[in-house]
Amino acid sequence: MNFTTLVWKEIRERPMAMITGLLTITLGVAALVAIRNVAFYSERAVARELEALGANVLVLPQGVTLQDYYSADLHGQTMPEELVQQLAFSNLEGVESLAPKLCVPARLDERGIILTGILPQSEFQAKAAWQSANLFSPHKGCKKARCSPGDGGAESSPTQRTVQELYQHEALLGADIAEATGHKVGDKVKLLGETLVVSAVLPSTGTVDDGRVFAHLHTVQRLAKVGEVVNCIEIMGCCEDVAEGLVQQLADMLPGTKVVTISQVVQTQVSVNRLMERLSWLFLVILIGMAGASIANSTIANVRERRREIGTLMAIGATPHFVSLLFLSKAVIVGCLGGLFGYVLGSTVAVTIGSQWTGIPVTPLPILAAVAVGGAMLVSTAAAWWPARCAAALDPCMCFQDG
Amino acid sequence: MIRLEAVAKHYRQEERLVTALAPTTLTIESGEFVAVVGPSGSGKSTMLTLLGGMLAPTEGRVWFDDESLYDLKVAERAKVRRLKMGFVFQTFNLVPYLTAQENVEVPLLLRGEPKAVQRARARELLSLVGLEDRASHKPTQLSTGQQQRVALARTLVNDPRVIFADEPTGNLDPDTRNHVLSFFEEFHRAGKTIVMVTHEIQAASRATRLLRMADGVLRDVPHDEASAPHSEPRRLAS
Repeated sequence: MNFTTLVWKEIRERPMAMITGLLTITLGVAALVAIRNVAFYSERAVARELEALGANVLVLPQGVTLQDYYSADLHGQTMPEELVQQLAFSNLEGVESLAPKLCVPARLDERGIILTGILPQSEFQAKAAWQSANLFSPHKGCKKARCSPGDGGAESSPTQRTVQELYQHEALLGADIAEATGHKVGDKVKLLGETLVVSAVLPSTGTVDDGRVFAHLHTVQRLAKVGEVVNCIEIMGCCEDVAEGLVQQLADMLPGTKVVTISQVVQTQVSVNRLMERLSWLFLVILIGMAGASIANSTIANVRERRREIGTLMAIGATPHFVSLLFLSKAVIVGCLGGLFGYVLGSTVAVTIGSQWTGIPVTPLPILAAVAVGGAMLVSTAAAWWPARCAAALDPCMCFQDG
Repeated sequence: MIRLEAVAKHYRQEERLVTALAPTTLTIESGEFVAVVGPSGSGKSTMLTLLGGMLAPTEGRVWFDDESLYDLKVAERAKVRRLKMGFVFQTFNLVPYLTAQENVEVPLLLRGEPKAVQRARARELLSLVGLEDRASHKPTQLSTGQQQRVALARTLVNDPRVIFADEPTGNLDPDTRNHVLSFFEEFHRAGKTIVMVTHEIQAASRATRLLRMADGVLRDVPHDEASAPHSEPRRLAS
């Protein structure tokens, strides 16, 4: 016989206490898993929507309206480019990427176009490496619902995603411009008196970007002879931080500029996420309370009904450690099984009912299995700890008298 | 050698101090078969549990060989019980959800013996008490006599140096009682020590030394005095 046999046989002898505890933990974990599962996919859906919207915070020169910005950035007002660097090294929580832009009118093949200067991400990263700045590392809150850009390939839309590499002699053509002019990758185009090579044709986005030509910010500054300035800085901010004061922080940091956000969208989506988050916490507290009380109660009852057995084991040489392990092991088993069953039940509910109610496709999250089992075991063990200690501290002699 | 050195045990019952064992000094040499008799509530069982390291005295010291039992840590005292002592109880105290075989294996499990050793040794002991064919039975499937034999096998499985027995024959039929006492005698002949608390004169008469406990005070009694018809009824006390 081994220790496990002893624990299992006792569980089989008194199954009701085990079943009660197991049921409580299973239901609690199931509720938590279901909510977290749905919340996760809801947050991802929000992140996708925000990503589709492009930048969610704009830094514009004072006096420029959001309408000016959307009407093609040709408001003519500029800000110093050094603001970009100031932002980049500020390590503000929630700022996931920066996209400074400078828009100037130009002509391509006798067509009037907007030449937009952008700064590739590789330049930020290089500067960050020099100065050991923790640039764009999303903070903890953002990992679950990142509003971050995509892979940043050259084919991405510059206003919706960041561009990783863009050399000074390169140009990116919007889909409409490419179609209208017949230019393709590798062609040479003359812009503001300088010849640039088309390095990519951007896929159609249905936005003003389709009608633009993009080049390196510093190239555009040089060609337009405007100095080191930008028209706007687009910021991809973590949605929750945007809603929680990032805009104000930016405004404080950059006096003389206007910081605007697509606040309504962010606010609505974030409030849904927050509700889910709070529900999760509520259920977590309920789970800990209910399951803890149930396990503690059944362990206390178990200690009481096994007093004579505890006394016998102690009389024949069991240490207090051995006795407490008997009870704690049982709690670990209950927690483990409860966590596992709860995960299966919760995932099933999330996938079936959750996806129907929210209209978001939900699939089980394997990571939640580990969290559910680990958490349930922890709660269960913690709840059984005190009764187990009491059992270990029993006087064997008293156990026989009471029995 | 086991020694009680001015050992007393008091309980606090509400506001009252109850003396379960008055200050007692006693030496039990290795190889003795001691029976402790006396009326109910006289402190016999208290003394036995004190000797067995299961109840800390209020005063005095309990020595087991050269160790003061209650100066040891709880786990160390458990180790002494595990390796050197065996206990036999009136109500057998078998673990109800384990089979006879498993009940006998428990002390070996506590010693960390491998499964194969546990199994072989438990079978050997069950065979010794004549219950090899009841190995897979749970206590509720055994008669009281059989249960006490399983308890005896469990006590002997660790080959203890001392057996503490609290009314070991109290619930048994004459045949099983005789069987159990024969085991004790055999154990004693092997040079081991037995301390047995009993009400029964026949059981007490099998011991080599008789102690009587009355009003919390212990004294040695000659065998003829204990068995004399005028001094005690068939049962020494009730």
